[in-house]
Amino acid sequence: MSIRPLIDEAADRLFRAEDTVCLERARLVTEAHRAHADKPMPLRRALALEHVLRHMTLDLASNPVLAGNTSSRPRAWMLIPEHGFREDAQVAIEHPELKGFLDGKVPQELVDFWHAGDPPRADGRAGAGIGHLAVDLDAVVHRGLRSILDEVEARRRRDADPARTTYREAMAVALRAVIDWSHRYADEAERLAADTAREDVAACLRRVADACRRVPAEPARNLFEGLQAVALVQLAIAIEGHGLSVSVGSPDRVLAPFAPEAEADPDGAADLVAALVLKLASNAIFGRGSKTQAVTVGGADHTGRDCSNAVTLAFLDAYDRVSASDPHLFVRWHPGLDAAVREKAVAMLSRGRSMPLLVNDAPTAGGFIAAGIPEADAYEYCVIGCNELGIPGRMFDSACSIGGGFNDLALLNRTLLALEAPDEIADMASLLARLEEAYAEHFREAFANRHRVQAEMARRAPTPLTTSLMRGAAERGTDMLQAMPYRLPGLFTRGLSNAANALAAIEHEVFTLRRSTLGLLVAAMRQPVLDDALRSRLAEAPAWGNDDDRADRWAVALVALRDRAQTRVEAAGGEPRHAVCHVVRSLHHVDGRRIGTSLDGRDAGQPVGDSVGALLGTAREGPTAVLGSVLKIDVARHFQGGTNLNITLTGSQASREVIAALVAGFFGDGGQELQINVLDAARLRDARRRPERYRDLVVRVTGLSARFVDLGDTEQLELIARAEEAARR
Amino acid sequence: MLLRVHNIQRFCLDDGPGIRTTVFLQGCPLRCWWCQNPAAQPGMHPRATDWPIPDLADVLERDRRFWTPSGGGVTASGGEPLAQAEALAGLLSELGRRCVHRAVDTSGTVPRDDVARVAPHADLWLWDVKAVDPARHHDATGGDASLPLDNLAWLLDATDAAVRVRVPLVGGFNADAASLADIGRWIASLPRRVPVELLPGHDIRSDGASPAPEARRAAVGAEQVARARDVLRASGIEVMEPRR
Repeated sequence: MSIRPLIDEAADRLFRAEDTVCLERARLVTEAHRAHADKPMPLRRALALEHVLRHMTLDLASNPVLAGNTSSRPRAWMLIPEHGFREDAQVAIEHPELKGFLDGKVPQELVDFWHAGDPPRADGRAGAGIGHLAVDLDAVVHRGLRSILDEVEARRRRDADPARTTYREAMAVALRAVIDWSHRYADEAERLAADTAREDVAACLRRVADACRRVPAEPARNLFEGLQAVALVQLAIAIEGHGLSVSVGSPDRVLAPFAPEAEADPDGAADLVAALVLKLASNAIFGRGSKTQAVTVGGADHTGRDCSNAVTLAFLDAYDRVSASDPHLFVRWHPGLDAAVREKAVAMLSRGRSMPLLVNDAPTAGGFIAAGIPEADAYEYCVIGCNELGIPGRMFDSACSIGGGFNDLALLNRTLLALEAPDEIADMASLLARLEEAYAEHFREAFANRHRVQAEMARRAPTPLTTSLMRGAAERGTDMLQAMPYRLPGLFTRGLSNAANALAAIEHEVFTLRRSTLGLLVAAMRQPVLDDALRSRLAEAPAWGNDDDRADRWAVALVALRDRAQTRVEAAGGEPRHAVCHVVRSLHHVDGRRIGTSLDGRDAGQPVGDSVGALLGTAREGPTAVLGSVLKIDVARHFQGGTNLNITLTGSQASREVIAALVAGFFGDGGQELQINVLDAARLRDARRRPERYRDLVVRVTGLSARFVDLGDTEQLELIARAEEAARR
Repeated sequence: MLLRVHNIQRFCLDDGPGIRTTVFLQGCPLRCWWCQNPAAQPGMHPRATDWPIPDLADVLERDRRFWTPSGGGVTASGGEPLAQAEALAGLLSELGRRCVHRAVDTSGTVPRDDVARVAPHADLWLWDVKAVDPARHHDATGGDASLPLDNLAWLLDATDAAVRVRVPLVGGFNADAASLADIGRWIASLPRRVPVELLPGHDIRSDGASPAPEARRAAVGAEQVARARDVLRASGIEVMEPRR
């Protein structure tokens, strides 16, 4: 019996659901924290997870194909008090109607409890990070939680260290809680199967019941059990309490032993994967504003062997079937990528699906290798957020936002505004020397901040379940925040394109044409809006993203001097290598609001660049020139954490041949990541007028994918402007 | 030797196969009323640049990484590229040395010698056939119709050049069935079979500026294009499908 109707119904239910709040987790976690206030924090957290999983509502009705839910209803906000009772600033940009959504919806006693933390936190945040991690799903699916639990218990018996004993006890409690949770689903599925009049639903529920009796405790025996184990564990990790998102890693690698099943029945496999995608899409911390769970498929191993298989194709087909925007799907590209995977990905992009996003193996794994990760593990990388990179089960801090962000434009502005006598700056080299010092100062502060926040997170919000699913955790007996196989803390940046353009404009105005002085330009930066005459003059300067060395060399110079400053501060402080990631989601607006007028022709408060490519309105030479500029940056050296790069094509430009050639040309010469939107401005305008006709239109905004009609004006208009720019080619 | 260039455009998808870089050369003997590139006419583009051939070849080659996977290359267009035949032959020869696929987009309204000079260096000709009736052609373009038609017939007969005939479909000029049937019959009578591509007149100039009011008349709708394709095919000639 085909489950397609059930998939369609579940998708419809999910994507039509209004945002609501589910207070279950918040209440249950609070109860447990109250009841176990005397216990050490790791144990308190494990008992809180156990309390939630034992008492939460099991929602098998909204998608009976697989078990697993975080909130009691699809798209209901699962509040994580440890992360704070608040909307994310980016969610408010992407979905302005959700601004203030929680006002009056959270009982005061919960707010009071979490605001009275130790020490109290004004924002109520008790130290939870933003997730952005992927665990070792291979162990979950093929070893099973029982085996991990046995190892934790055995280590606990052999090691008397009190802190490690406590932590191992917490891991054991958490692992048992997930196994018991799966048994709750088994019971509930059996009960519902007996009750339902629909035979297709009953058949699904009986299969769920059988699977949940076995997984994730024991190794999965088939594709369905593998997917069920993945769903339950992913959602349990989310419930444990990571703000924002947890990523799936590379499920096609994990499920590869079951590829023959997918090969025998590709349609059935794609339906099952679609059910998993919908399960994860229902995992809603911010309702429709939930973003950046990532799924990564394809890619090679360190010997160059292609790891894609029939499950890889099932993921692509599944995304084609359900227009989910989160989790977003990445395909790892390499020269030996299976032709069917390659063609399917290109065909989806050509049809305007804006998915999958593409990552190139050579510079990405190369970046990890350059940072000291052994080759075999480097080639296991995956996306763990918008576009941040990690290695499932082996690395945690590459994207947990505790290493500090910076904005190249903000640092340049700060440097310029701090000049006491700008006209004494004799040349660009002198200016760059000042800027390098500003980077160094920023990194010193950022690294100190990371140490402080990381220690605080480990103390306030340890995650024993998530930690137990990281390699070697049973042996280490400490939280993942304190130790992991690899450390590569992340640094997050934006504004490179703006800063490069500002430097090009300074050179053009002050040192080439000599029609202005640096003092006059700095004075103009102190105004909220640029004078029109100056704006036109600045616009005459060469701009990044046109494959024009006169501008591009400034981007290259910026990453080089940033690297020098970073390396110097790392060495002086005995710090590990940090991976720099150009990541945006909607932070180009958040950052922009805080940055004053800048010499790239931008007024105070306006957004910074939406990717590492050309600024909106400045790509005079089209997409190939944008790619040509970006290729001048050695990403494996300067962006080991990844870069986000959007290009927009019109429907008439985006034939499969053109997309395939853009990807082959860009990746062949070392490009790292490519997000291809195929948009027509007229269609987008129509979607604004008649949203009901465009419910399935998924677009890539910046670092997020979204249904176009769900977005607010700011980003809808931004996408239309990009489409108009593409049409001018 | 210098080439007078009024624009270089990357990521061109309608000027031959694959992703191409098109170099628009300055100067044109015709004055078509629907002209989408009036800046290429003599005296119309004060910022046209004179390029030494090796420098121009360097700039044109910047998108090479996208040519191999797409089968693309460089297209010389205009204006009328053959109006600078000697320098154009030099550029194409240089690009040939660099193993670049070269297309020439021409109205063919030049002396035979100029075609012959460039022919050994072109991998593909994109040859405009606007009208076969001499009076109508002259009225609309100011040029002699027999020159491009005779040159094309010669090219197909005397060389083994690859040629695509391009019919600009211009509302109020040649988009009617009778004109198209004439064009179709003429193409069918050529010494070799050649594929035909329809270029629907559109209302945006290549430089993005708004067209003159009279040029707006050139626009044709999708239905007219489909009908034109049918009329041409009725003459037994191969009409290419639109790119997408």
